[in-house]
Amino acid sequence: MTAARLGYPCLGLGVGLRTVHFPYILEHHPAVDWFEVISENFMDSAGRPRWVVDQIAERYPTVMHGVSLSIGSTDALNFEYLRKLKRLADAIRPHWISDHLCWTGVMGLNAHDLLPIPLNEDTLRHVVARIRVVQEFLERPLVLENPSTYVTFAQSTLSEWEFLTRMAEEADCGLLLDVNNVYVSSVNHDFDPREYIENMPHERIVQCHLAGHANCRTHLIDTHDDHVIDPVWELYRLAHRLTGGISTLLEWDARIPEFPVVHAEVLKARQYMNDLPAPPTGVGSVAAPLERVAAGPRGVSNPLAYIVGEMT
Amino acid sequence: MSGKNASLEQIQRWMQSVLMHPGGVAAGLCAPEARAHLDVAAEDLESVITRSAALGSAERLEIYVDAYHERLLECLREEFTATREALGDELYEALAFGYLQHYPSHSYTLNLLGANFARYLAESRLHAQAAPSGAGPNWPDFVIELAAFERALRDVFDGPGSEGGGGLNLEELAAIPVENWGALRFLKAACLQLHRFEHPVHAYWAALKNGEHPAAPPPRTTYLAINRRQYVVERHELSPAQFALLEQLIGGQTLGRAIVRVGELPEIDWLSVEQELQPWFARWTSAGFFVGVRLADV
Repeated sequence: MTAARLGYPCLGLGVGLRTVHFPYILEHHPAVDWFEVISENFMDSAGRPRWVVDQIAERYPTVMHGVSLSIGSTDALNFEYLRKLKRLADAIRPHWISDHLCWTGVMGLNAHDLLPIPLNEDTLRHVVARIRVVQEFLERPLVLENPSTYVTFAQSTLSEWEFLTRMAEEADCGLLLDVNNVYVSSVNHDFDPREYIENMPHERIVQCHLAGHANCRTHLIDTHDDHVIDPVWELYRLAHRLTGGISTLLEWDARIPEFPVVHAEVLKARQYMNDLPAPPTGVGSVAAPLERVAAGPRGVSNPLAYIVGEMT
Repeated sequence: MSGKNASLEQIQRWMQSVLMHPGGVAAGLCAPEARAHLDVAAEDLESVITRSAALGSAERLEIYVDAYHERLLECLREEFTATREALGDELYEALAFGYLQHYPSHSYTLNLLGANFARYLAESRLHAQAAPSGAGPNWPDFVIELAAFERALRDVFDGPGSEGGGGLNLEELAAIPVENWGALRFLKAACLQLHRFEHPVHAYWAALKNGEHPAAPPPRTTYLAINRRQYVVERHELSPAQFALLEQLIGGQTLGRAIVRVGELPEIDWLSVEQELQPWFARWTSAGFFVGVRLADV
């Protein structure tokens, strides 16, 4: 690696593009720094979704974020998928292409979830080898995100931040640090989220994700259906300080409010771009993560709008 | 047995088998399809999945099991809103759950998840055994056709279209000398689909969209063209003669040959509709059914 963030620019504060906001964005052209588009929602589309993303890519900087690369799977890489991914990238010219450290299925099936892998030397070798193939095919460095997870494996011998650090260095890829995912996983797996972020290879972090989650008392679920809570903002403050500032994006995928509400949420990040503490809003703290409990059925991680384009 | 030395491949195959099992974690762990990959008894689950301070191993795995089914069922609900209304929530959910067992996703995209739902209903006909009171004998077939119709709408919505091209316009059509019409081949829009249903599924669907609560309609053979213009999906009900003629044309026949073939069909009174040809073509051209014409070699 020759440059911080692999030479990728800092795009500012962006929003995840979602179907319900298409009409608003096309009509009002809001002053958003950039959009992240879900690759799979557009790579096969020859209809309105593809037309919309073409319009948006002409006007705004974009990044392609995938959910089906399945870099950790033991099935063979899907080169038909990669060809389509590359074709979409050639058309909309994203600043980078990202996906997740996960697997989505084996034996030819797809569970359409971001499933965790055991973190050890064998799986590290496996993932690094596959990243290299993908990067060679896509002709660009890949950026991989830490997913929210709900199980850990007895076969793991590395912490997640150790795994991500070595993976990024050995494969020479970038990282997408989802601070909400760090927080969710830290509660689910009883680790210190600050230690996680402090030990990441900050110069390889290309992008940051923010989102809301649901508190199910015994665990948190990454539902992307609410405002970002204060403890996650505090982790963002830490990440911002350690990285020196990176492209930041808000994901909101269920119970999605009007676009201005979503945009205003990511703009709150400005308050955390210095080391002064933000005014408290009474939504808990890093030390008391399970105080805020979800009301109603909010139990699905990676909600539907995140992974499939809707017909409008 | 312990899963302590399990490989990544074993763990993934085992975990997927458990999370896709319809009976939940407890049944999934005992199922032969999971134990074929990793023979871990429920009491030894911690040799693969560790516990957290708050949850045991099985409870943690259950989070993925619940999410797997709920996510895919929600995807199907979005796609088959009218079919769900016709079946009722309880029966629909049971059928969708069964569908996921018979047709699990093999694709990186969820856009294909519902592609076989109508086929599953037709193959299993499970809904026929649970028809609502008052449903007529054709109700099961109506539901199957409704699911096929909803899938067709989705395919037309997101499939290839003709928005990027010029398309055939009325002026071009009018400029073609009458003596050439018989040798014309009409090039159809990529998104145009023709369907014959034995029930007016489009009318039921449209009534639901209008906020009505229609009853399942009685059988009526219905001919439909489904097309897309400027990214909006449109539905056109056709007469039997229109359908037959369009079917010949998009099959590649010249207009002259198509007219001859349709005229041979005993159920169509061709003489009575021959004078309607011009308005038909004007309507179909305006509706974007064709992207062009070319003269066949005579």
